[in-house]
Amino acid sequence: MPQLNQDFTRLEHDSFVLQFTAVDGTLNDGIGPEYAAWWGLVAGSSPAGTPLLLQAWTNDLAAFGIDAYDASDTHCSVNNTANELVPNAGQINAAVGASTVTIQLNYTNFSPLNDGDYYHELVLMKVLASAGPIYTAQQCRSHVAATGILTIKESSFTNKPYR
Amino acid sequence: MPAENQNFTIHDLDEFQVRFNVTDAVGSLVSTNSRAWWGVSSDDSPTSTLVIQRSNAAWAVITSPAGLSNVNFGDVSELNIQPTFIDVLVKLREINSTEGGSISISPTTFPDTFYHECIFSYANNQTDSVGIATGEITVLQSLFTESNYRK
Repeated sequence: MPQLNQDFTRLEHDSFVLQFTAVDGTLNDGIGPEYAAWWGLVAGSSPAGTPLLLQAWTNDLAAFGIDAYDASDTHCSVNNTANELVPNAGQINAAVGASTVTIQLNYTNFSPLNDGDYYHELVLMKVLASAGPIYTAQQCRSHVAATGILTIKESSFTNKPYR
Repeated sequence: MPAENQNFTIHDLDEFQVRFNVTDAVGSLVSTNSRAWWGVSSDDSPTSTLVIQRSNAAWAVITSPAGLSNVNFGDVSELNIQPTFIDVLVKLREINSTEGGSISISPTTFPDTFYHECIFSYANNQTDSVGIATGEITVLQSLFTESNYRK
């Protein structure tokens, strides 16, 4: 089930690593390298209404970021008009480890963002390369693992300016 | 006795799993005639239409008065009875035209709540069954769903 209220604060110009740790096994066997992940951030405290400002995902676009509609899989047919996840200036990489998803964020990633609140969300999806159901890049096998609010605040040292 | 208030949260269009741990059973839940049934209502009431159903096998339907039939919502493998717990898997969509997956509880306003209930029988019939759990599923809005990436 999703971990809600994963809130944190960033001062202007901060770089940091955002690490999500699975504590409840999520789907099937828990998080691990067989999972793909994507993370996004929008302005405000709600997921609705504004476009993605920052996004991160595992694997490359060809393997994961495409719309993978599979009409033959009636258990899991993705709407073939669903948007593709496309790179933008804020696109960064996410890494899935044995029990964590790690996203490294630096000043450049945040440069378009002003002070304020931003809603963020992490989605996980199991990717099976072996025989059997083809899960690869099917958005419909995904689930939200964590959500929260990132608050960006002014920094005294940034305003001097020191940083 | 049923475990009430087994409430949990998902996000719109998530695939999800639910595990019902049974702590007061006499012996193992697993037997030849063991049947379990899990359903989700179209809103937060047990009297509303079931929009998601799972069962581990066909159910002996009461004919008089007419009982609830085992409508083919989902594969029987998606409800799994183990000695001390019952697992249920819900994908986005299911086999038949009425869907029966998490898309069936995709709200128009957020958050929204849906009643769910799990029933178990050692005897493969509804008259000898018992409520395992009841609760509510809260469905929250998803950033990626709103951006039309997850559908």
